[in-house]
Amino acid sequence: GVVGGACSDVQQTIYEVNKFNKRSKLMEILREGADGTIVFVETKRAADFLASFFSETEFPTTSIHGDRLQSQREQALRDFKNGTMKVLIATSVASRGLDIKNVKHVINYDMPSNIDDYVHRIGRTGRVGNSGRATSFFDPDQDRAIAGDLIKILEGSGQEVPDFLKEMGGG
Amino acid sequence: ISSTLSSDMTIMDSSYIGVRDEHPEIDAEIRAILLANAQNGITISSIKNEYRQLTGTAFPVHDNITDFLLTIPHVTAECCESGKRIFNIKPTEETRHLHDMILQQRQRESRNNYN
Repeated sequence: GVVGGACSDVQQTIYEVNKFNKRSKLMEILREGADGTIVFVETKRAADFLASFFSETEFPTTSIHGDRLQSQREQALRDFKNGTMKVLIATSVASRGLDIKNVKHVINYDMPSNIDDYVHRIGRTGRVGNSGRATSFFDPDQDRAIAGDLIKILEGSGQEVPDFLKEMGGG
Repeated sequence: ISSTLSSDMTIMDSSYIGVRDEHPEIDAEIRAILLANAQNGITISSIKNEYRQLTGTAFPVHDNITDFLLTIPHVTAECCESGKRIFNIKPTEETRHLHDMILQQRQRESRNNYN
């Protein structure tokens, strides 16, 4: 792809989801196929809450965040890579510097606050000629500021821009 | 006497049926909150607070919250020397990997910090 842009071989989907509907939306998406999914969330607590909830109710899920020791992060990543854990929930700070590539599906449960992080996150999927998938939950109460930049990235990589986003990013 | 006791228990447990009908995932949600806080345990007021933040709904039980929490499998309670009542969780096969990590991770200095 273009340097600094998002790869066009990543299928990017943006849903308008409010804060408290995110968990059921995530559940719905993961039930269609959870293997090799990394989910980005904003807080440590949300990472552990979701990992516990999903492990109990749906599928083995692990988590990575800033309170974890380096050895724990590496172990969680190994469990994810070898398939023991189908889903990895991560805060974005904790995932920086970790070798997480060729992920089947990246889900932005919480949108990053800037577009560079968005591009970086979705760059973890769709490597080496494989098509990847990136799904993002856009919360209008929270994420308006990134709408304009997000539209540019979507258009630049040949993706459909959803109507709700066009209306928001128009100004 | 024993029959009186057991019927009291029945009445008490059934008073939570409505809560579980309306919030079918509440046991797993509360266990997840307790697990995320397993390093130090958590008080009732913090459980209520996190429940609201993480699920978007107010904690649905208002009286006898300790009794309610102790109807949830794997939940534990202890009374600290300070008199504070602290709740925690025993891991299951499904959550042991998370429980181990949380107990051994870096100690959290303050509440509600990020990343």
